[in-house]
Amino acid sequence: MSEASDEDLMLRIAGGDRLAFRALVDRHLGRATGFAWRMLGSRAEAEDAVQDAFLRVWQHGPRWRSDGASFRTWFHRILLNLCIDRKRKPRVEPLEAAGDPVDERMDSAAQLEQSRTTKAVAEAVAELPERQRAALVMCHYEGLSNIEAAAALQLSVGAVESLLVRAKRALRDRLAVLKEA
Amino acid sequence: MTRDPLDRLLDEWKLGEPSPDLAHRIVARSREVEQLGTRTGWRARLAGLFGGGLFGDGMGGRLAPQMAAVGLALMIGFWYGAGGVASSTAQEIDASPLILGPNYETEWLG
Repeated sequence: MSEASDEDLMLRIAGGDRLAFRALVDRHLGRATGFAWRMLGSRAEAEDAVQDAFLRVWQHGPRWRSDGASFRTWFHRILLNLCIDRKRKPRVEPLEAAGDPVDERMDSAAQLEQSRTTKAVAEAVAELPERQRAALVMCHYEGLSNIEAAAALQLSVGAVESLLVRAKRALRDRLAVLKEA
Repeated sequence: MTRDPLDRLLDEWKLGEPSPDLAHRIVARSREVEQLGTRTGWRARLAGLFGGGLFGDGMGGRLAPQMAAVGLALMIGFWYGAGGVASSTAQEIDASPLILGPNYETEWLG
């Protein structure tokens, strides 16, 4: 099961194979949660979005056709749309920016510094416009190529490159203080 | 190759792991979805109609479509066997006006 491609697993999911579904969930859960977490700024919200996204995969599996597009791209598009929907709903939860694990090898001063940096980066990314944030999270954190991100965002590759340039320019300005420190 | 300082700064934003039971929750929810019969596609719909509730978690997804097909075949067989369609068709033929072509007497002769 572990060596089966995503597309093979999707074909089996279309036939109602729950083991294939579980394998697909296990394979993509960590990255999917990371993507949604960075998009939404909250682990709880992210997990809800990821759950909904995988349920869409299960529900629409029988209709899924590869047609040259990868599962990863398709799944990112679903997850992104769910994140955007959630982001647009009014929330009462504060931003869980400092959701990083504490490295016990570091002393408290280093931990404090890392926490400060993490919080600043998370807040700066959260302030980016939706598309810039999505492009940055996909390409920088998720390791998607510009072509894959373009397919997921339904934009041209040039448009994605432009989003990345503008996102990084904005982040440079916002994080200049940290870089100098 | 030297990494862009901004990229290094962005790398500082690390996240924890998702909840340990998240995968389990997702699979459990998918079972609920299946039992509600909301999966798309004819096999899944039939599974929801005929087989979804008959089997346990592991078997439902695999056997339900086959059971659905058997159930549907039995229904169709019963319908035809009982003469429901045959009799109604005969009644319709009886009631319909007979339309004959100009060569109706010879057209069967080849």
